[in-house]
Amino acid sequence: MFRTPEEEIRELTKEIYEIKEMLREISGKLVRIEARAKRAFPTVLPRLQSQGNRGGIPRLSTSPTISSQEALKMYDDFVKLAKEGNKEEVQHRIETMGLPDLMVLYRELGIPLGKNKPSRRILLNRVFGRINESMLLSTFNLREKINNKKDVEKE
Amino acid sequence: MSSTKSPKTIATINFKGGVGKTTVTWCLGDILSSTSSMRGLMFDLDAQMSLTQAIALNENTGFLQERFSKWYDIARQRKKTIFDALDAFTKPVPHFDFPVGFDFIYKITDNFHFIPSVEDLYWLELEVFDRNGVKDFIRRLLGKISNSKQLPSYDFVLFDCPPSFTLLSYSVLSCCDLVLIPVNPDFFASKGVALILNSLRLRIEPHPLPKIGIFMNKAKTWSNAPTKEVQFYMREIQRVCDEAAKSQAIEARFFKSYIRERAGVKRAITGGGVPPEMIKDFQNLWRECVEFIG
Repeated sequence: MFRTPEEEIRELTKEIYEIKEMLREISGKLVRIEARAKRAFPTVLPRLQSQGNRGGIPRLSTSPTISSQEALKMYDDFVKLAKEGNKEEVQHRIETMGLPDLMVLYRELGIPLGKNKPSRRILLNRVFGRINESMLLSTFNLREKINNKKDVEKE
Repeated sequence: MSSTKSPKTIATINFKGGVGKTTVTWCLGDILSSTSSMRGLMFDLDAQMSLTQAIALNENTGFLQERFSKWYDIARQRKKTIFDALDAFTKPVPHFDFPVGFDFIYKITDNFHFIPSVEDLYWLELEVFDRNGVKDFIRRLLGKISNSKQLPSYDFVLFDCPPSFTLLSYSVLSCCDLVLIPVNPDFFASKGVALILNSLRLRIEPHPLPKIGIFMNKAKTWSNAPTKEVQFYMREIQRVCDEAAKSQAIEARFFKSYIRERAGVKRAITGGGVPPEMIKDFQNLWRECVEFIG
């Protein structure tokens, strides 16, 4: 329940924004699928071109919804989740992030941008790369440790 | 040494090569001995002899430093090198018979002295099999240096260790106050730190593990602050450090001070000296080392 009408409006606006973000994501995915289908079946699907969709990922001119600190906190959560074996969930959460938020995360992780603006796929891959680095840094396979662990399990 | 106060002993180590162990060791020693009243001794324990050769080389002329070359030749002829000291230590005799003086220790400046490396250290692992027989070597050698009437009192002793776990590293690590690990802002150097932190206890046991201080070296900066990429690795190493401190029960700390990446620092040893704008970086690092050692 909301204490004031203003609070309700704020919450509703936030929800609308989240739904819009999701729709943009879905739209983006549909466009990609459509583009692939067109490439695969160029003679069957030419008519779809005249339906007004110009193709490509929709342009997101909105500003990010997360701060630098929130992005880093989010990253820590991703690493923790991935270490616990929930890599698919992490992947899903990153893939459904809005582009402006993804850019904030990308920047905060210090991934070099390069000369050209990276595609969304490159952004995603590089963020996954950082997560893999973080996981590898805290993974140890020393023989003594493995042996000790086996001894403990035997006992 | 006349003073009863024991020097602070710091070993610079990282299993990853090229992180700046040698340069950092020399820069720390040079700055401390030239900008304060402290007197320091520095060991080169790496058989690759990078520190020894850098000190021997005069970059301005391209020739070897005549004073050092002559001294080094005599030290080798008279069997007064670190290898000879170890040889004397491992002999099956009751006393460690190896007098120490300025024929064994080279004076870089009045306040900064040096024990160079020798190529023979390469084959040390093949000649000495009993690691416990070597363990007390550095401790006993430092004791000899402290008790020598010919030698001055040292406020700090620095060890430039090889990028691997050798018998001499073992001897140093089992007696020093602080293991100082330089790390670079990249994955492989960070992994090197993680490896040391998670394996050192197993190697040193049952002897107590020294405190471990880690700091970022060659940090790229933007507007006087580390770049986001450097900050990423600083956070990662902090995380590795915290996890290792917890799981391994070790006293490990990731220092706030960092050494910036500057082209001039590579030539510091061979003639350029430490770039003036970097002096503060090393002084800050030293301050944190001393605070941590306590």
